[in-house]
Amino acid sequence: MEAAYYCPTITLPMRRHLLVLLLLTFSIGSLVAQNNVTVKGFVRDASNGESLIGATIYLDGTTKGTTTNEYGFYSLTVAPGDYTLVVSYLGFADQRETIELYGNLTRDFALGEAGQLLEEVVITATDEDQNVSAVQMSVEQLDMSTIEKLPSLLGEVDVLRSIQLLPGVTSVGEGAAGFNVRGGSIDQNLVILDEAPVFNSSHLFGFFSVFNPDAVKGVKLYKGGIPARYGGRLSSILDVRMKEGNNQQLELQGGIGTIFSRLSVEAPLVKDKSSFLIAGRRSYIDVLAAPFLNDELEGTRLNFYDLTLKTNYRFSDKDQLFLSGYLGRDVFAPGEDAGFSWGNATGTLRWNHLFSDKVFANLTAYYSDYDYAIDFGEDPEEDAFNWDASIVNMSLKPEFSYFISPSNVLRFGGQGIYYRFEPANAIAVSQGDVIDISVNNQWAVESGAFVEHEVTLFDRLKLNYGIRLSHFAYLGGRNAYAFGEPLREGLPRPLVGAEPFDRGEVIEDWLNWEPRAALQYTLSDESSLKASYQRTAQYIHLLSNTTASIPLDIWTPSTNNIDPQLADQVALGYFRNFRDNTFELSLETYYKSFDNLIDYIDGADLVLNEFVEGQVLVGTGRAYGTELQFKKTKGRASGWLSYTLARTERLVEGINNDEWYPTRFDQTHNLNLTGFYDLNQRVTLSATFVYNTGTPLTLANSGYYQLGYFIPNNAGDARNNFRIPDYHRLDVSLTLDPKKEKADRRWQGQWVFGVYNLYARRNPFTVYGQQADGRTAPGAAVDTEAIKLSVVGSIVPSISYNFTFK
Amino acid sequence: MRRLLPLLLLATVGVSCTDVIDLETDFTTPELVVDAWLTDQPEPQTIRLTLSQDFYDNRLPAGVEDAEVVVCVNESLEDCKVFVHQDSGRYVWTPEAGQTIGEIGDDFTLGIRQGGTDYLSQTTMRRTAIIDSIAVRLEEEQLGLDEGLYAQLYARDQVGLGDAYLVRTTINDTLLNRPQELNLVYDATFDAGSGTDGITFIFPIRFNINKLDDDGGFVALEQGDRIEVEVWSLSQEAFFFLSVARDQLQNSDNGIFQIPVANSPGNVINLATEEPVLGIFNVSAVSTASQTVE
Repeated sequence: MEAAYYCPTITLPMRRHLLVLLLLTFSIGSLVAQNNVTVKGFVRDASNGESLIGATIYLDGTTKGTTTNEYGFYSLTVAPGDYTLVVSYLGFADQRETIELYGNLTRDFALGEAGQLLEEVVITATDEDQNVSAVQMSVEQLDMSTIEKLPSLLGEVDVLRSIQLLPGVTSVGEGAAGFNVRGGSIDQNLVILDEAPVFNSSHLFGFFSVFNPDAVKGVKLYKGGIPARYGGRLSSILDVRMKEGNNQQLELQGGIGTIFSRLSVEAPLVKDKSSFLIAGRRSYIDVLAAPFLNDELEGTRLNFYDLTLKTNYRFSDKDQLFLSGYLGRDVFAPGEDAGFSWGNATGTLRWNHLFSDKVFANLTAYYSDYDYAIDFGEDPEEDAFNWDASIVNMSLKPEFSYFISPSNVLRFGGQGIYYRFEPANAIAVSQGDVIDISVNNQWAVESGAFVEHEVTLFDRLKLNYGIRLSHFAYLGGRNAYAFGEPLREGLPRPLVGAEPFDRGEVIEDWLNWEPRAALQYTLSDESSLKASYQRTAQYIHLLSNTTASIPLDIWTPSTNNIDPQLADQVALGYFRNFRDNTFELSLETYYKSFDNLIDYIDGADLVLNEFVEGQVLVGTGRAYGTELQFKKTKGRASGWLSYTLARTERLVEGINNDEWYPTRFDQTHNLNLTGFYDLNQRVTLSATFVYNTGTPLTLANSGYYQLGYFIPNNAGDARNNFRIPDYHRLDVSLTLDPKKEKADRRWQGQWVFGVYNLYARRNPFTVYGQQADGRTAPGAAVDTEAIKLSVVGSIVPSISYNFTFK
Repeated sequence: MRRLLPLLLLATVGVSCTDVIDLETDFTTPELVVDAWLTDQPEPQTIRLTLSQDFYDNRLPAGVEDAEVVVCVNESLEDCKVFVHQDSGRYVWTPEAGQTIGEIGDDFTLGIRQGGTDYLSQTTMRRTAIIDSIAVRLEEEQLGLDEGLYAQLYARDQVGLGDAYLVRTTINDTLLNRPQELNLVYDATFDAGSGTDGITFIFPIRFNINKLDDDGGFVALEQGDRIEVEVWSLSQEAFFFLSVARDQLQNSDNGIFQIPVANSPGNVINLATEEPVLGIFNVSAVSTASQTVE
């Protein structure tokens, strides 16, 4: 499957393979019976017009039903007849409507929130038995009402920290950017905000995620069985969907927290047709600290902010346009002479179009840019250092869903992405001498085409199979470098040649077939078995060898020296719901193998290095584990327990004496316990307990003297053979909602009191050896000591206030 | 460029904390260490042969005393300097008056015979940077710096890529030997690959000849202080060795952004196994300057 084609243009091989896909598409399409009729429409929230994703529509008394897609659209094709259509969505009152379905019909639904009885924390925002009945496995979904009730660090509601409470998701440590899914590194997650990729999803390194909770509708994480419509990363897709904005009335939301203050405005532009949302957050440590800064720190800037915008317009039942944008930035400028800043900017334009009652199409165009800048030096005429870097990508992505019948759905589409990598536009100035130390830009084009067929066979078996064809071309406009063999193992490979390529010329390209399949077998109304297989290819890579990734880490495309990463994963699962879907159990086990993973030689210099490709090592990896999740979704007490037993290892020639070693984020046991309890109608108590095995790392076990320095050394060259102590933590919070008798007031205030790390454990982030403080006298022994570093060293209480105004 | 990170970390110091702990290592077998940093100065030259030790032993190394050590110039067996064992693994060659071990451009071969095994290393004496002056200036108070007098080393990189240097500074008989004072230069900046060439050493390198205190802050100079600077030329292998060592020695400053433990690759080869042993053989040309604060 790892076809590496050498060809002069991008289009030739793609055209041939597209043809295969199209043929496949039509052959499936022609199987369809023509006599049936279709009812279609949108399901929305009556109070604000937000589309409801994953709402169930079924015909009462039959087994025929469907769920709404990412835009709230459904299409149900059945034999003509009189039916009762039931529309349901957890937390909302069911709606029933009798329809005489003898010709094609359009029915939109606006669901109202359920009464007091059901007003509890909603954990699953989808169809009640989705856990058992859906073909998709290895998927985790959290809606904002759950995320908002989780205890959080400093009271800041955080999308990315929340998903780390789910099975199979780990992190290298508190405060580290990114997350690891089933043994994948952090760059193997595709984090998309309204389809546009977000390359750095954290503020303040890794402490807070860049997503403003007021602007997010919900998140969905695919850990496996990734449908063919998604591609580009090996391990997971984190799909973050933004709210559309209230199209019924003006709504203000906001909050004052320990770190951020937030404000969002949503309102209809044209009632029922168009609305907008503007949401902003800003940290205010600097504002609070300003009066205390003395002369030397005057002019210090230390803040992070993000701004989210979205608007939509419904032209007709058939056409709707969405425009969304995100801008986030971290700024650190201690004093006036130095400054660092980094951030993402994304823009997405989407057009939904109904070609017919059964064919839903979406065309997405997005732009995404991650960039950072570093500036030093008070006098650029004398001494200075300026460096900025960015990764820009633009994409066009058409997708079609053909709802042939409730048991037969076809999806197909494609994507083209244009990348421009600017690793460094940089100058160094010393005493007025200006030296350009830039690293050359890189260009690439990634394209993909997919077809995906979801079908129910023999009533009990659901199948979603598909294939993604992906292609990547590393383009010219620069030199392609050739590297020789290193002088000795562990040394950089020397540059032996540089061949110039013109702009647009293909330096090297790759083509990969990525088959995907998922099946679900219904054992009973309450239980099912599922299985999935996926192959994924990844063409862009994050170059990072620090424990926690730094904002200055750079991405590189696959080049003539760095092949695309590939992974295969199989997963099996057993799913069971109990007591009218009150309890959900899921048990999954997976095995995943990786190819062409990137590692680095000892002492690699990854930034501002034109020849960084000569310092990259290539290896394979494997990850396997079992994930158990048990959820209680209804009642005054709800929550979930998740436990993962896993192993994730790498094999890289030149590391660990060419033997398998655990990754830096390997955790044997990972246990999360999350609970919510409605004390009364105003007060909700929440708690999370987290336990995981300490992560492995490499320590210098010995040392020796050179020039009077004591040089640390890892005799035996073992990698990650020491484990830091286990991690555990308990967080609690109390949410105080407004009084019931004030429920019809326009201003609704909510207090959240939280305590992070309740029993003040100093959980280690890392352990290392260092030279002790103090100067060593000439000829004397150097003092060394072992250090345990904890990121959060004590109990962290917080209070925040949130409000809505309608 | 990781040297920028401590500044970034200012933002996170609020919550993080460190504790000194006891740690058992899995170290078992001491290995031979060659500590052979020679210079072109007309003074006794020392090569130390020692053994590696547990990281937390906190003691001086054990010397290897039963070796034969010789350095030959330009692959000629006629110009060989025998290093004679003095004490605790120190092997010394004492030149005659005015004599040096060699000149810029000379090739040197180190031969060691110990315990029936032969070790060999080859290196070339590279050119060193030209020091213009040491300037002492009054600096205003700024972040991490008290107001006071501070020195800067004005030295210029040689034209042509690939020149590497080690700046060694002594202030009033105190050799600046803290990990953060390890002042390495490659083509006027910190690391290879940046493409800088032939310019004055960049500001952080020029300024790093000032003394640091226990908290990592620069110590202002006082009247009468004497600063002596030596700029040693380094071979590519010696530079790479020291740059890996520097990144490791300074790694604890990086907090959660630490790089993995990495071994500095040595350039003295065990002829039996063809594997390098620990340590470096380098012969430096040295330029010097000194200044007394007035």
